[in-house]
Amino acid sequence: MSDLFHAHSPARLLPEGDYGLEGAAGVRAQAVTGLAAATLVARRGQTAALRAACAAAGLPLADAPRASSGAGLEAVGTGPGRWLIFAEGLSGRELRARLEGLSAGLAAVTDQSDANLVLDISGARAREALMKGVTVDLDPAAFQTSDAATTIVSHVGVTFWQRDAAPTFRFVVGNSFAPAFLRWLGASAAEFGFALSGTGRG
Amino acid sequence: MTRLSAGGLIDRSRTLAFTFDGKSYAGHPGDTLASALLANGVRLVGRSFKYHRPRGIVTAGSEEPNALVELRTGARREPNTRATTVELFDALEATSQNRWPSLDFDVLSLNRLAAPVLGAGFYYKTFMWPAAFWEKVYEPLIRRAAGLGRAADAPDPDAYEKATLFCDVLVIGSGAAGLTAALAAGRTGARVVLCEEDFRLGGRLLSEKAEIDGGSAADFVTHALAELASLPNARLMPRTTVFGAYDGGEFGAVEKVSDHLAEPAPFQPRQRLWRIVAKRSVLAAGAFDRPIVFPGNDRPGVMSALALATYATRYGVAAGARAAAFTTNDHAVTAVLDAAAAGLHLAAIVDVRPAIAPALVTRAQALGVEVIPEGEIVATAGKCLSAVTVRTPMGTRALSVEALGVSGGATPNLNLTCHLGGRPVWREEIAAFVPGTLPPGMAAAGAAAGHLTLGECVADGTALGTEAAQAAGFSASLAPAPKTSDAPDGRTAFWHVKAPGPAFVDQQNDVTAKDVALAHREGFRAVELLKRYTTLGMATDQGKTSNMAGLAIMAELTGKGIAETGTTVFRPPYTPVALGVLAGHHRGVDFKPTRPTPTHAWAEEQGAVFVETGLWLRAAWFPRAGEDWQAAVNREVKATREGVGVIDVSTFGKIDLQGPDAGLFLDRVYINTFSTLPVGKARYGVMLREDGLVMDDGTTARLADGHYVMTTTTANAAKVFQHLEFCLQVLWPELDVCLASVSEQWAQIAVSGPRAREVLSKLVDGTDVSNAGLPFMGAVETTVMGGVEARIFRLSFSGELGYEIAVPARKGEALMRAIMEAGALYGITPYGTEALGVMRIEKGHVSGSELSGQTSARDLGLGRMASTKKDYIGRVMAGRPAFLDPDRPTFVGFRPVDRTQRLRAGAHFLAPGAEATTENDEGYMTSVAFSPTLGHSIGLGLLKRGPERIGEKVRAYDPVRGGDVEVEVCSPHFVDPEGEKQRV
Repeated sequence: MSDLFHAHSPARLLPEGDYGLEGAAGVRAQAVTGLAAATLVARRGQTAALRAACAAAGLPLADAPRASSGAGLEAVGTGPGRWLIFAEGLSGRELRARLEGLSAGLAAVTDQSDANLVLDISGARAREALMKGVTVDLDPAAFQTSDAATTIVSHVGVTFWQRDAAPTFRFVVGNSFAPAFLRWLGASAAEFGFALSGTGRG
Repeated sequence: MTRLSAGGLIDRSRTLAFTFDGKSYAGHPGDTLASALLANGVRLVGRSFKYHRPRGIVTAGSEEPNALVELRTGARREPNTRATTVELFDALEATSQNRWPSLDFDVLSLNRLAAPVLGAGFYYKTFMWPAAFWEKVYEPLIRRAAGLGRAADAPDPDAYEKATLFCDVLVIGSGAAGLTAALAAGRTGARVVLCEEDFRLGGRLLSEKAEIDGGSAADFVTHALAELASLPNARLMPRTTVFGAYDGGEFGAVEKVSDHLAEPAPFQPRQRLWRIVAKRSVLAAGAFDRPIVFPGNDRPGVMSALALATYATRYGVAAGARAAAFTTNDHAVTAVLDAAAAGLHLAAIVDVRPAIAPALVTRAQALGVEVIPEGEIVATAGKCLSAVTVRTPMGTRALSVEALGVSGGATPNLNLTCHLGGRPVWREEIAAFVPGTLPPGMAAAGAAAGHLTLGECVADGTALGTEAAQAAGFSASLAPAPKTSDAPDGRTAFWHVKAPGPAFVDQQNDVTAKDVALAHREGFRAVELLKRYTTLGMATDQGKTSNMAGLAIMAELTGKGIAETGTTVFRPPYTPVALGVLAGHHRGVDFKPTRPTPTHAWAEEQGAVFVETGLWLRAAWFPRAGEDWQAAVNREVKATREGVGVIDVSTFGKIDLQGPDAGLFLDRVYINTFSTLPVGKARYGVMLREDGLVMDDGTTARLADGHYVMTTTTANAAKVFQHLEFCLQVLWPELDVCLASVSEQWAQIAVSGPRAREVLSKLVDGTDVSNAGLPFMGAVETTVMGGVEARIFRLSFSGELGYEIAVPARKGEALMRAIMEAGALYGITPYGTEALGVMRIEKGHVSGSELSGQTSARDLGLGRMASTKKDYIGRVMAGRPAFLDPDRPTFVGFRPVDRTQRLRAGAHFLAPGAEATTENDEGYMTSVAFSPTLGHSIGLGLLKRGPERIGEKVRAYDPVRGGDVEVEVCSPHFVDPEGEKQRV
């Protein structure tokens, strides 16, 4: 619905609340806070060594569009030899230090803790809402828990992965694009009822 | 009323009221607007495009050329809607088009009297002189006379959306072939999507009386749909037209979600655009019933034989009180006999063949229908059809009928097979084109493939549905196809009745058989030329019904066969697609993402006026009470130059480069050297494209030995990152460099002005920011505001003492507030992009207007930065002779000789006294500003031999806005030319 959010500034996050069809929300989105994040990029020719080092330290890394976790970290493959790493309860600096220790000079580590809005999207109708912008096959036959994708949704670059079979998808969206992403998500989920939380007053 | 007393797939227990041209009528759920109009005896529904001839409904599907109406009113008004595809809803309002003052009496139908001279090419021949008249006089005149309805003149109140669907097997069309294909594939467990443009699934089976597996066609449809609905892996999509086939197994489709409702339900779109990605596809789109060209064949009441039958059997409507048929094939004869069985008063079947199948003759006799073999219709009568003249070897006779069902045979609906370049192939046995090379992964089934009998359709569907699932990786064995009743399948190829009077080939474009002959005489014989010259097959129906007869007549005239004559091919879309659905969510403010800066909320509080710069929304200026734009900008510039100002510069692209080869890498992408840059220093760099033109500029700082952070312009942030990735992945994969975009991670705020250091010193956690501790172009990683990670770069775009302070983005707003607080004592002034622009022009820094993709480093006065000791991207091409031409326009400054005059960007330079011609052009003004520092207008521009001409006077000539100002060539560095202020 183009007019659904006419009262909301396109430059602000949609405020938390219920949108669209009344009743039980078919789609829920929750902004996740308190996560540190960093990119981990294997140095030239060091992908295998880096994976081995991280695996030895308890964090298996898939060299594929897949999420994995271990040693208190969650990793998502975003490109050959590239990962986005998340940690709860660490500061950006702490995560960077841990990763630098873990990767032992085999990778470049860059803090991204402030770069993104992290959004958990779930609900019985989540797949139907997401197919209005995600051009990746999300059918359970093709996309399962731990599968990930780095793609464009509604002109916005995103990385997302499936965290459980509910299903819950975790989306990582650049902060400056987050208002536009939420407007698209809200418009797409409105017909199923959309509950948004964690964005405060926008 | 011409509604039959019983039968049809309509709900007679409910009545829907609707209006056509303001008059009220009633129909039933299950009706289309066309069937409901016919049920109310409305036969005249439109006026033709060119001659304004009265026209009626000729088909029962999306191939309709005539029955185009305006649907709805006000903001939802929608022109050129095919009445044959409009599902009737309560309170529907429809209006006829292209007539004045009324449909019944149309003044422009006088064009008909001029028809002898209004033939093909008339407009081209007549309105070609004088040429200037075409745009202003002729075209508006012709457009008014030939209008195809009016678009709504208010914004569309409805919403549209797009979605992507993946499947193993896409089945297009839900007739006998499509249903059996979907069933066969669905039973294997494959993900099946079945798209049907009609609101009811079943295709021709909804109108046929044939037997399948011992039951009726209708029962077969019911059972098939029930089974498909029970399969979790099958998705049925009625009201969904697949309009295009694209690369990689992708298809475009439009789902008419709410077109059958007066208004969409809450939160529902009007239409939805589907991108369907299919491993395999089965095209089961059926065939069109093609017309025969004969005199008077466009009279309301003359329609396709299968349409006549469909209206009777599916909708329970007699298209006329008494009807006849004009046929060439058993399929059409069967259909009209089905209609007679359903209650249509069918007086006669006129067939061009000497004899038709005995079984059909017997059935006709039983139904009281006269069969006239070797017959041709040579004339029709009435405004709406009242009689036809039949010519047989025995002579001519008149038949008094209100409806005539015409069938010249089947034209397979193979449009989608052409979308990736496939060319149809002529099959003589069925006198039709059939699919040639199919798009990868596609199979054509049933009538779409030229397999016209019901038995062939179900056999095709079953086999190809199974094969498609197998090819998509599912195991299945071929099950027997349903058993169907045998029906006669004879036909002859027949296109054109030779008799006097206007005989229409293309009713939508008013193209007659005579026009085709004219095109032939004048040499426009190739099918593509025939189409362009006569407009045959253009507009909303794209000749779905008319093309065949047109090219058959041409083939006859040239004496070449149809196979040799060939056919035009089809491009997407198969049927018209509304622009709204292609836009989807992306309209109005959602056209593209709006990117706020980290300090957006703060800037809003300050009353900033915002400007869109690319996707970003940036503060342009911060007006105070009573200030206009100019006053605010002047104040912001002065405050910054005399005290201190602050601006959010987070929109610059920021790229993190790590690895032992990062310095070497930068040496190759920039024209100047970065490998020698000391740690803790920043440097301005320029990068070129391969062709030697400037791509981008910005500063890059070295934070540690193998760690640099690059800044790009706001506009080129994504492009530069992509370029660097390309360089690393493709050009120099041996370099050990890791890239990461940190544009979103860091907020960056510039503090500029003589008091900048005082402000900064209050923010840092003890860092030495003295001139010695952090000299000009210094960079330091530190903390501010009590432990917040920060990077401070001593850079200046304004020319003043300046710092750019970067903090993690979520701390950006807090930093801005802290800066404002720390600077309050010095009257710190927020400034926007306008003041930023003024100050950079005062300093002669190049920006977007100069980095235009047409300028070299030398043009911009940056040539001396280019290293001669190394290679870099663009070096060789930047040395092309034209780039070294001393006459090339080069970067300089300008000021008006009369200082009160205002300069304008875009003005071209001319030598004094030179005539304003292209030959005398000496360059142009790229940027201008009013300099509050100097008190007059200043400009930057590119002037032939510019730097050699400092002190000369030239004209800045701006014919578009009537400007002609004498300007003096000067250094582009208007303020503090030695750059002392930034080094203090």
